[in-house]
Amino acid sequence: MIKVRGLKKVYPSAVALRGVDMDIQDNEWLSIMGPSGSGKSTLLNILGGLDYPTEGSVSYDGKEITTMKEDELAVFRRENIGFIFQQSYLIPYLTALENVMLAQYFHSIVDEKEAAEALKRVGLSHRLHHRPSELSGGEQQRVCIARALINSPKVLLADEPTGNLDRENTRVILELLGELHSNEGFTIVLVTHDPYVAGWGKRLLTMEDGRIIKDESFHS
Amino acid sequence: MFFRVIINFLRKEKKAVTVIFFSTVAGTAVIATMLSLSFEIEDKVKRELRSFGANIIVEPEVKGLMSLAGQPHYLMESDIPRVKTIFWRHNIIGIAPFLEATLDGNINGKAYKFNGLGTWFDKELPVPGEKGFMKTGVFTVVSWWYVDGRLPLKRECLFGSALAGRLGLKIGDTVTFGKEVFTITGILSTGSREDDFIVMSLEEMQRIKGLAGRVSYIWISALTTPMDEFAYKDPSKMTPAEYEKWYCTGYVTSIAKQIEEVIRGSSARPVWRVAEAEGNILRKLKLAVYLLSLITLLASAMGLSAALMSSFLKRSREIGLMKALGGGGLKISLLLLSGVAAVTVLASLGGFLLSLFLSDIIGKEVFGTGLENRVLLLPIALLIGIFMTIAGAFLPLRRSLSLKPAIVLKGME
Repeated sequence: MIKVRGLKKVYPSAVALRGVDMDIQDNEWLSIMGPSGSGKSTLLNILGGLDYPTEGSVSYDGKEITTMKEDELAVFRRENIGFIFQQSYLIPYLTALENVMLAQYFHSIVDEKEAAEALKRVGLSHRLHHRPSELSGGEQQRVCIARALINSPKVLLADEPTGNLDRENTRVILELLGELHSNEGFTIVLVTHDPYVAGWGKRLLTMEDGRIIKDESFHS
Repeated sequence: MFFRVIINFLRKEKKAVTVIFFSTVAGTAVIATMLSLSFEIEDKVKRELRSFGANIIVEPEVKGLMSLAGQPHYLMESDIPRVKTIFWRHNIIGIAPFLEATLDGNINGKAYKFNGLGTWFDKELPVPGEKGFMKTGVFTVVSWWYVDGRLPLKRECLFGSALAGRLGLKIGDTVTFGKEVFTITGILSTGSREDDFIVMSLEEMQRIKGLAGRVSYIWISALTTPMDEFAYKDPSKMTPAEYEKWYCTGYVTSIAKQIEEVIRGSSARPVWRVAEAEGNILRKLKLAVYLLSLITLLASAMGLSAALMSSFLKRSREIGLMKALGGGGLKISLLLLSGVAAVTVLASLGGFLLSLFLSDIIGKEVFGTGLENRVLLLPIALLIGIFMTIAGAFLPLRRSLSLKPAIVLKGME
């Protein structure tokens, strides 16, 4: 379980988080919605150990991560977290397969077969040796999903993963995430400003001006 | 994956690759040449410095009342080959014995008292225990002696330039010693007291003075280790271990001591002004070489550093992504430096080839022969290339690894 308590983040020019408290259960699919500048991406970055809070704590199964040093956080990230970003951050000169293998390289050792299998699971077995520039936006995002899941993380953090995609590709990506979530049982925290995307989760937090203003659960 | 990372670096970072390549080629070439020079400089410069003259003088040891008797004392010429049996025998590169005595001569019916000197001009000295000979003689210890004419043989002699000038003598004139007539075959210029001497072969001098097998003193030219603080310690106050270390180091003092031990009744002493000047010159030359190498290394590393700083800055997002994926400092550095390493290895090989050329030129221009340890240049160049890469990449890597992925990926930095 992820526990967030009294989380504040103050930048020199703005206050991003003004005191966030929440719990995220294992295997939960949590969507976070809010307008630009509401602090949702900052919250996601701190949850993923990409940034430190000004105040407050974040713990994973009782293990506090906000007091970890940079190198400890790097280990924590590679062991526990998978990231999907709005822009499909892929290394442009590496193939789809190599982009997935890069995450393996940072985690332990590269295994080309396993990386190819991951791409097959996201429907890209025919695009293994294509570079990002040779893939569509939806395909690029699927490579990112394969990369995020290659090391079997406990938590998948997605920041506007469909922000640059059309409705059809958005649906494909969300279906894929839903299928993988059901099969593999990892926790998803997905930040979006799109109600359609947010609706795929089982719980929705709405943020405004650095605070959680609504916490809703959906039971389907 | 690594291969593609390297290819991408070579293709996309042409400016950085060019700067890194040429900085490394220049740096490794100059430093490899300098270091290889420093390995050989001691031997080469020592040989050059031997033109300063003998650095050890061996004289008869005069003890107690012997000095009051006023009788000349001599060393035995037959002992001289034993100098080539000492521990540092291979460092003995020149030996010249002298028999100095007054000569009663007659020129055109007029009697004179001359200072006479007998020495070896071109001697093949048998080396005990070896088949070969050591070619030696006066010119191996005093290279500045100049003879106008030719060297004397039997019943021939040289006249010192000052003496010949005073008496108005020239080549072909004769001088009589007793009943023997000697022909002047050359005029000797030394710039020192020998300009007032008559100089002939040692054998002739011994014969006319009736001092067969005797010499007054011996000049020895030896390659020595520059004197350091330890070398100046009094050997009589050394511990056995210190004495052994001193004895087995090629200090001018320890070589002199060993010569004393093999030439009966001798006292060998260093010519300090020569020995110390050699030591100082060698120390300063080596220091200059090391400083120049260090400056070159810093300059090349700075060039490399600037190129990498710019290259890594362009790749900030890539680095941020690697960090977000959980990349540790070591693995990210290996990825980032794989391309740089490929360039520096190639550049080090280029530097090695250039250093072959440079060492040849420097060796020939300065010492008259190329440097010998050229095979050493390759590992030296590669090691310098690696060291330069580490030194040059340190700051850019440190900066890159301190990037905050959340900020970089948002494009805020």
